[in-house]
Amino acid sequence: MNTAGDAARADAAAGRRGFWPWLLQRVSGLFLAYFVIVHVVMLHFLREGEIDASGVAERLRESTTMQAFYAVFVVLVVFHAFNGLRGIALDHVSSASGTRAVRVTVWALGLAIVIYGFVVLHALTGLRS
Amino acid sequence: MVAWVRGMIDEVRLNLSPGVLAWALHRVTGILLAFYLLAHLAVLGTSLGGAGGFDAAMGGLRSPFFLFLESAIVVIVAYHMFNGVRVMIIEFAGLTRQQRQLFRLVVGGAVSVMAFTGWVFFARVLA
Repeated sequence: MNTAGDAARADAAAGRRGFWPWLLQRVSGLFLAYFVIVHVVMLHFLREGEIDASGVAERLRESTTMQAFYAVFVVLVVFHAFNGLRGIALDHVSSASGTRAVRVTVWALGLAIVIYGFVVLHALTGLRS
Repeated sequence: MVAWVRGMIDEVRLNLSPGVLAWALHRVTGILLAFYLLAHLAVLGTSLGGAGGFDAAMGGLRSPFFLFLESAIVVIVAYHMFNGVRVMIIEFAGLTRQQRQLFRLVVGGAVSVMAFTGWVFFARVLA
């Protein structure tokens, strides 16, 4: 079923996505593999008992490295998620207006969620029980 | 939405091969992880209302149902991560001809993670 038409459409779709979104998806993905593993190992293997507010706040307050880790994590994961969703959307949208709608939606939602992530990270750091 | 799902199923059915299976699973797990990211942030967002709300939310997630979902997320992350590395190896190391063997490694890795996660899940639920 791999006809010339399919190949041409795939090339056009790849072209619409651009070089930088393609490369940055790989770079962010590679970093995320590290961040996700460190995150899961820290929370589920290097820690005893249930996750609660005082523990979360203590770990974050104790170290700026930890705060920086999660600040970068938020940016990386939201970028990777929305760049990925953008790629999927562009497989189904090809008109100029549709492409613009995808770009605006992805940037608006992505930025809003990064800001929300920072606000939540700040709240978690300041938790007092 | 229904058309999209039907399109994905047709894509896999008509072009069935390790490559198209890897692609479809990567896409589906990616979408699931995007939703999980939002849910994860929403749960952590209870911290905006103070420690009491946060601890209540975390307590609500300790049921076997949420523990199962959490276990599923671990397996979904594992597949997406392993296949992402496979895609990068194919692209940057020029190993397109080895992509089927690499897919077998990805599935093997994901199944291993599933076995471990399943063991942890049942150990905790039955404990």
